[in-house]
Amino acid sequence: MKTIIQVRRKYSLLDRQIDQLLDGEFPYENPRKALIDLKGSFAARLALLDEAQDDSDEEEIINACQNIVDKIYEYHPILGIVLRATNLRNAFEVFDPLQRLLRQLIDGKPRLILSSEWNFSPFTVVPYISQDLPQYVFVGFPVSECGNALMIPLAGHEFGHWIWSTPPLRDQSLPSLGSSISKRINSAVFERFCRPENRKEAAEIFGVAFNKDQLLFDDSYEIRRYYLDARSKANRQCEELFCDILGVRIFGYAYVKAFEYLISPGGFDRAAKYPSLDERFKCLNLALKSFGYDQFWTAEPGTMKENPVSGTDRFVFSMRMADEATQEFVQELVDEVITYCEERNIPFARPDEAKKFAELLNRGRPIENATCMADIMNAGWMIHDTILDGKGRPGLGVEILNQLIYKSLEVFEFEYRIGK
Amino acid sequence: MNNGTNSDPGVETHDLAFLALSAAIELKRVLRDPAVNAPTVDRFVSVLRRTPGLDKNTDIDHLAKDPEAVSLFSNAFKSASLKPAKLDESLANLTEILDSLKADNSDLRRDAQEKMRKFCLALHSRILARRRNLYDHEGVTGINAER
Repeated sequence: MKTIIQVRRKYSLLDRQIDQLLDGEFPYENPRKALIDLKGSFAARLALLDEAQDDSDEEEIINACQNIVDKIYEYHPILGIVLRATNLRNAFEVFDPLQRLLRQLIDGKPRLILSSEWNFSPFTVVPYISQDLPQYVFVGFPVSECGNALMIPLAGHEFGHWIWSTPPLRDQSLPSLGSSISKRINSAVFERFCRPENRKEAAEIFGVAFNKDQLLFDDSYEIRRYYLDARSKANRQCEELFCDILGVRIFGYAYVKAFEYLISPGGFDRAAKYPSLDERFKCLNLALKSFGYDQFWTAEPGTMKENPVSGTDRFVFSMRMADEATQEFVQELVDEVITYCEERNIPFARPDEAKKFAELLNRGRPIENATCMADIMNAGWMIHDTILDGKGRPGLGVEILNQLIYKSLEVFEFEYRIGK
Repeated sequence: MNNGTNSDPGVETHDLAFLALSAAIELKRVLRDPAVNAPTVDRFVSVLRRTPGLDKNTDIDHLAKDPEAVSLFSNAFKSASLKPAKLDESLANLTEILDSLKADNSDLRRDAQEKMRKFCLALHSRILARRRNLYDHEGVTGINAER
């Protein structure tokens, strides 16, 4: 069977590539360990093909071949990230503090992989993609921003995706945070579709009678397709808000400022899977208030704008259902973050401490005796704003500030290691 | 449903496709020798049982909680040529097969094992087909990954 030969060839070529990557140098252990784990998981797929061939069952063989090729698709981008995680342009000085924070947030000693990526947005590889590496948390920073210490708080958002989507190394039978909320989000979208006024509108827009049973069971029913889409969007929007709220909870002002920096100057079309910019800023401010940060800090969209969603009446209707369902959950998401972080003793950012540290940075000195990374990041952003307002100390520019923040993080790590 | 089309991990957080394929291969062995253990099949069945509609909950609105899982299982059921075309009927039939896997009557049990094996292979194919699309479009998520 030609297919088997070709698939085995594809397998061995990728396996060889993993071996070549393993021959490289690793600034920290996680990328190397990830490669070994991927190699093991890949080999398990080949073993299934061997078993299928022993059974001489053509359908089994084809399925086993498809499974291997599926993994080849899955592994390619992951291997790219692992390779770029070893690149020296990464800011390795933040690896240990961030991994420690991650391990406080997620049980089971997850392994952080930080990489420099050719995509101008920090991102994470969503957990369901890397099913073979459940204990690894990937965070990619845009290559041009890898050396920008002020972007570090955005990692808080990316960690949120992992908390939301999967419980690494935990008992697999436990639902993730996302899946438990998600059932309620799904029900909220369903309930919204079934409201009399929305039933009527749906019937007019879709040109068919609204039928609850068909909405649930009939894949050929057009409204069901949009219902599933609305449900999916509401889940995604809630996930994004959850991640923003977590970022604020961990880093306070520094998260808000890093977020503003990233999306500035706005002007884009709204992406359907994300809440509107207005909603995100409302949520950031609600989070700041809920964590007691609002008397010091606020989130301001300023002149940033985005274009509202546009499309067919059907799309806009489904989008509205998703948006409305999402809004129902904002306070609950904040409460979830509060409980989640409280259970894990995640320290709050301390505005007074940040102010004190900002004085040190302003004098050109790295921060000492910090007990929380957020305080360093907040001090950094405070001085950054002062510099941009033209009120910074003469000679202290953004570049020097950046070096001071990295130096402060090194001191922070050193002090942690010596038990200070 | 953990098919990657959204962020709801639903019924399972691990590789359901791999589990389905392993269960199919294990069922083949069971069909050859009914005395062999089938731990993978047991695990697969317990995963299926956690899906709304397959957990003996007959409340129709309950299915709204995980409509994509329901669609996926129902479509896999259809592609395995196990007949019923309507979603709720296929779920009812699938539940019947799950129940019959432990039947005392050996003919009934064997029939259920054969059907389950077909279902496993069809489910494996379905998940993979959906995932391919995911790799192209949904692999990463970030603060504003779609800008």
